[in-house]
Amino acid sequence: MTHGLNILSINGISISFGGLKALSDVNVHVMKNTVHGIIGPNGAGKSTLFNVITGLTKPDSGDIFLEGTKLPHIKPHQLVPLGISRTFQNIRLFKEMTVLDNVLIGQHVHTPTPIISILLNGRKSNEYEKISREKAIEALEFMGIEDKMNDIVKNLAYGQQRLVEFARALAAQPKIILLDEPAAGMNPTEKVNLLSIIGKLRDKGYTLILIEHDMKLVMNICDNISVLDHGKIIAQGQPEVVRKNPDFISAYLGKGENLNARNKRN
Amino acid sequence: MNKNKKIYLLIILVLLLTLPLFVSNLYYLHIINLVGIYTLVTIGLNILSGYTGQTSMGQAGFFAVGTYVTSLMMMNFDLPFFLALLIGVILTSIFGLIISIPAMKLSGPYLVLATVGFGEIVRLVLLNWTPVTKGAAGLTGIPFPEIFGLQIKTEKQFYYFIIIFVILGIYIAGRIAKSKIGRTFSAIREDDLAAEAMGVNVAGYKTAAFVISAMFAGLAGGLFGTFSGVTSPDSFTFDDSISFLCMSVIGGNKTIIGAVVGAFVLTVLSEALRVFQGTRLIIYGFILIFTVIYMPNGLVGIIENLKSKILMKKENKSME
Ligand SMILES: Nc1ncnc2c1ncn2[C@@H]1O[C@H](COP(=O)(O)OP(=O)(O)O)[C@@H](O)[C@H]1O
Ligand SMILES: [Mg+2]
Repeated sequence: MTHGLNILSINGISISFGGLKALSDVNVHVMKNTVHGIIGPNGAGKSTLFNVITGLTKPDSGDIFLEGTKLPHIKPHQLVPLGISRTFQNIRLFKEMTVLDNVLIGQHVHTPTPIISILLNGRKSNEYEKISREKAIEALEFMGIEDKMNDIVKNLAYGQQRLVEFARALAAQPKIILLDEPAAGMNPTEKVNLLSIIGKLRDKGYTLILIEHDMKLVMNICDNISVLDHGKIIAQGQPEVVRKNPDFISAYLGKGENLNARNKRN
Repeated sequence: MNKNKKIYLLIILVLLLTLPLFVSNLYYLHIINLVGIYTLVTIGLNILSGYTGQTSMGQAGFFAVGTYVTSLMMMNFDLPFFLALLIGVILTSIFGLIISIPAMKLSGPYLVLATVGFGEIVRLVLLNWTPVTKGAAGLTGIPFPEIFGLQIKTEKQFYYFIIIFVILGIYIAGRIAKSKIGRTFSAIREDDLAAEAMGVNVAGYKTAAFVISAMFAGLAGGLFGTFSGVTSPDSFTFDDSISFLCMSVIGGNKTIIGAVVGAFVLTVLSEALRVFQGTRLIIYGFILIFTVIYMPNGLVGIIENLKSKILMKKENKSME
């Protein structure tokens, strides 16, 4: 992983929960305009790493640099305007709201709030709302679910909900999108569709970090991979390099075909 | 807005403006005026709990602050009503701001307990700060409001006076609810962590919801004092906070119009139940539980359901 521009550097991140070391001295460098996979067995600390990057969990030590600038200790919501947005492993949508409203919340930091104009039904507030709507619909079209925009989210199929969450993250106009097991619960067709969406976003210049169990999917789409096990990075690099790494083979594939079993348990 | 809706609104407006001509019984008109005042409190509560998901069982506290501050400003400093009301609303908002601080740290039942505590503290201060609040005896001789030299004092005059505030309140709350602000409130109710992760300043918006709900309660309180002429801590008990919550939930707390329905039904019901004074809360309790289980979107939700069912039937027929 020597080519390209470094967009996100995770330097020496450690965190423990009680006695459990969820992450110990984790270093990951994500290159601009790539898809970076984070893999590892359940409980390895992948989601925790995402929580640290997005400010939801404060690490015990270590720093994160975004485009060379150290991220200050700020509230999670303040990180969104800097260009980081995410999805969650166990879908966290606004279930009683429409698909469009969910994606509009993704636009939150880019939509001004002209209070007087809102109260008086002024032109300014309507214009901002219209622009946001158009952008939200654009994100939905990109996911191919614009026909669902007026549906209440909880009525959607699981795979579609994942796409809504993806659209919401995209609507935040991020530089980096963090996807926590986006393919979980998707059928093969949906997975193929997801892969093509991720590929298209990379072509458009986005950087994506992807937590995924499906090894085929990971090896297919990722430019670089970091392998976490028990909170430690045990291997990283390009897929074909990682695939040959003995630590990776023993920790991950060495356990035979339990990869799939694990998938099912999820 | 489509043409049909405009026509409906016009009809409702005409009905509202001519209502005192049909209602000659002053007692009924008095009840309707109370409905107007309680509607304002409930609108605020709907924004706080229905939209933002923060239940308050201390709304009577805000209502009390608005009533006492506005009344005392008129009585002790001879301020005109509108100036006194402005001060009342501002002070109540400040209380809303203060209460929102623990609300940042607490959620669910703990937040509810904190609001109960707030309501009780206000009531105890009113009871015991005798030099200013006159204690249990309360305030008497609260002046009538005056606009352009015209004193508002009859039930009919108060009807027109109050309804202007109610219509304005519904309009403003409706604008908030339909805007980015209302959408963000709902997102916080649905999942505050996801909202925060999407860039929403959750703490700020929760504070705003508390302040807005306090403003509405304070405004209603200011009207309540001058309308009643007398007031005492008895009007601002835990029971009253529960009544407001019932209005909010039973009417339907995820819409602004639900506040009108809830305030109307509960106020009329509570007048009808006057003979059962002691058991009133028990009856409310049962209605509340029934509502939460069988009609989570309140009476307004049921009306909406019926409407969509009728519409579907019509569509089905026209397809045949
Ligand atoms: N907030 C938390 N409090 C306590 N333990 C946690 C918390 N978050 C994660 N953990 C623990 O940290 C470990 C790593 O979890 P996680 O990051 O979710 O794993 P992964 O996403 O790789 O499956 C697990 O053992 C989990 O139980
Ligand atoms: Mg995980």
